[in-house]
Amino acid sequence: MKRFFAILLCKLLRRIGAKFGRGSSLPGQAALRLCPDILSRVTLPDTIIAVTGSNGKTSTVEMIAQVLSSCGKSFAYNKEGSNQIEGVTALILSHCSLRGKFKRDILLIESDERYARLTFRAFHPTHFVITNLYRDQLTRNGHPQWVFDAIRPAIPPEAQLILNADDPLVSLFGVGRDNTVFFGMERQSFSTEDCTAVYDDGKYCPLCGAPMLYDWRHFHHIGSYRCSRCDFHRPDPVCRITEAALSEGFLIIDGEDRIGLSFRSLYNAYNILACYTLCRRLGIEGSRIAAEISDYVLRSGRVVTFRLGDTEGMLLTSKHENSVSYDQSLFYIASQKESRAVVILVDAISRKYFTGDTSWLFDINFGLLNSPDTERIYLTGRYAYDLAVRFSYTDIDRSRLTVIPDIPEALDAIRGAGHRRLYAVSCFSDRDKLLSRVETT
Amino acid sequence: MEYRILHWYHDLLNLYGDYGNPAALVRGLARRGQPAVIDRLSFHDAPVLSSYDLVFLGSGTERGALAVLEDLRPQREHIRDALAQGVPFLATGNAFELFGRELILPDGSRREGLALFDFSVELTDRRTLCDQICRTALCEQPCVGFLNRASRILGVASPLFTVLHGVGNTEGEKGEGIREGSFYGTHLTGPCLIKNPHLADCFVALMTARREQACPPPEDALSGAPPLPEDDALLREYERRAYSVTLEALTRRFADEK
Repeated sequence: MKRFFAILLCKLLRRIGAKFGRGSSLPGQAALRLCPDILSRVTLPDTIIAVTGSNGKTSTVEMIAQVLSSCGKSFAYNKEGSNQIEGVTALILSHCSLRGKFKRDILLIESDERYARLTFRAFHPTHFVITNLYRDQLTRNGHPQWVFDAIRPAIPPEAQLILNADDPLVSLFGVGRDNTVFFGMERQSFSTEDCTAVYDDGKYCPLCGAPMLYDWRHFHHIGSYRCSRCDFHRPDPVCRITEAALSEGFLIIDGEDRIGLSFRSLYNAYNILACYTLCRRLGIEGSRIAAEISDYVLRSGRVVTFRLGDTEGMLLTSKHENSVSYDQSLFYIASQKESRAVVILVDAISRKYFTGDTSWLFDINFGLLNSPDTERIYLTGRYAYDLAVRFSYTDIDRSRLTVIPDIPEALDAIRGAGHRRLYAVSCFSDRDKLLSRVETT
Repeated sequence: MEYRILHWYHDLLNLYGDYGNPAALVRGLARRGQPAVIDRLSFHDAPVLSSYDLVFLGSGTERGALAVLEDLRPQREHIRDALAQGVPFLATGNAFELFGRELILPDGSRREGLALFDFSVELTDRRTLCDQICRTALCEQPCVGFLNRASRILGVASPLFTVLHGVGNTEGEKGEGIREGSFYGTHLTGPCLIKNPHLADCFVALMTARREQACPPPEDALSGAPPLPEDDALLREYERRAYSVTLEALTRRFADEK
């Protein structure tokens, strides 16, 4: 009876919420309050996919959904990205009959990495994808090893693990475990032998603590590694990007499946690979997957083009407190061989919680912008001075910086300067402060 | 002779941009006309500690810090000698926890610390995360920063900071960090000397005072420090404003919470 009312309440609240455009976790919260063990009282489908990790969860899940739906599979997923237990509960109950039976064949869940343990206490995913573990929101998460320790108890022994082979901390989940497959990217022309980031989270073996050796890296600690002491090493991937032609805009997976890139970045390539690997596990043909996600434009819209006066702009949404995400955006800008201005906007560090901590700026390799192609760098937002101080520890000449904390004023200065091309780097929490003042194209 | 700063375990204890602290000291010394270098050493390096003007250690993961502890253990006597000679040590984040009597792990097991100071540490399976405003007798202005730890520190007799907003060595305590002789420890993580330029000045002054005491500089000494950038005044202004922005943001935040 309790189950019946919890499901009914969730469905009702969800319908009301949809009308007012309200959050998607509240109905789940209410249902959990009414019936705390509701998730163990419903009948779930045979295939439950969980995707977690620091970066790329939402994009990976969105692409998996794209493939599943084009293959005519019956599934449901947390489209709005509410990825803690309340959001997942709302997702499940709203697709359940009032008698508690989940009405689709596949349940696809984006899960918050730190709280996955709570979500998967009552039911177990059959497929568990882990994308990567980076320094991310350290003011909440502590550090990647802490997050590793939080994810581990969430992984049920019977689940198939689908892991990023190139991230040592992620591949560690597969050590000594059967039923685990890996995905990875082979050496590319842009791969390097040394770490090119400000810090190196791959320096020491996560298993025994001895120094690690890298044959090559794609970025940060992502690459082909082996421990100098124990047997820990990059495992063999079952699915691999054999060619990542970023400037031409395509990937080749396993030497045969060609996938066009609507956005030519490495993180996009990894998200596609994670999606591809998972879908292959579900028995979908590689060529079919490739066709469905080739040139796929993400709904989450991390890249937005706009005009500001005569300037053509491109916003690369990055995540504050996440240096890998920033570095990837900066790397993308640096790899564009054209004159440009760059604006970096840090105003509210998070939209979910407050912190004044700006130490993460020191983990970002802003030196990547040091090129004659970078005409000018505008630093704006409440933390513009912190950015200016951070830049003073790079080789970038200060005469190329313009520091204007007031955002509209900074945009006026950019408009007045008449740059041909502008790249904007900011976070979801801040980007509307820019997008609301430009003309999106 | 140029000033020498040791950034010890720079490749493991560097979780929150801690490398900014020695960099801030080099900049501060340059502003006083003093050239300086940073030595970046790590496991098995066994540095000659007494040859440094300052030794810096930053934050690591809990496992990382325990690995460092074992590497430090055989060097305990050298550390004690260097401290006895007055070499300033600045340990931020969990690096300073290693210098106490013992560490009690979340599973109850115990690890002997370096036992250079009489405090103990309980590692916890929950993290304490918070923005901080605190004061120290070293400088007039308050300091700001972020505390990110999975521990409680018990029995520190002389804390480095008095917390105005935030948490101390244990919840409810006002004292944060430790100051004993020339040893300074704090859980303010990351580049706290960049965020607090006045605090960086204090450590620069500590270093220069120590040298001048040992050997007063001749009047016409040539410094050999790298020339300051022409716009150094502007840069100082940025540093000051970055600090003020955070101080204001935190002050407002803590007022709202009340």
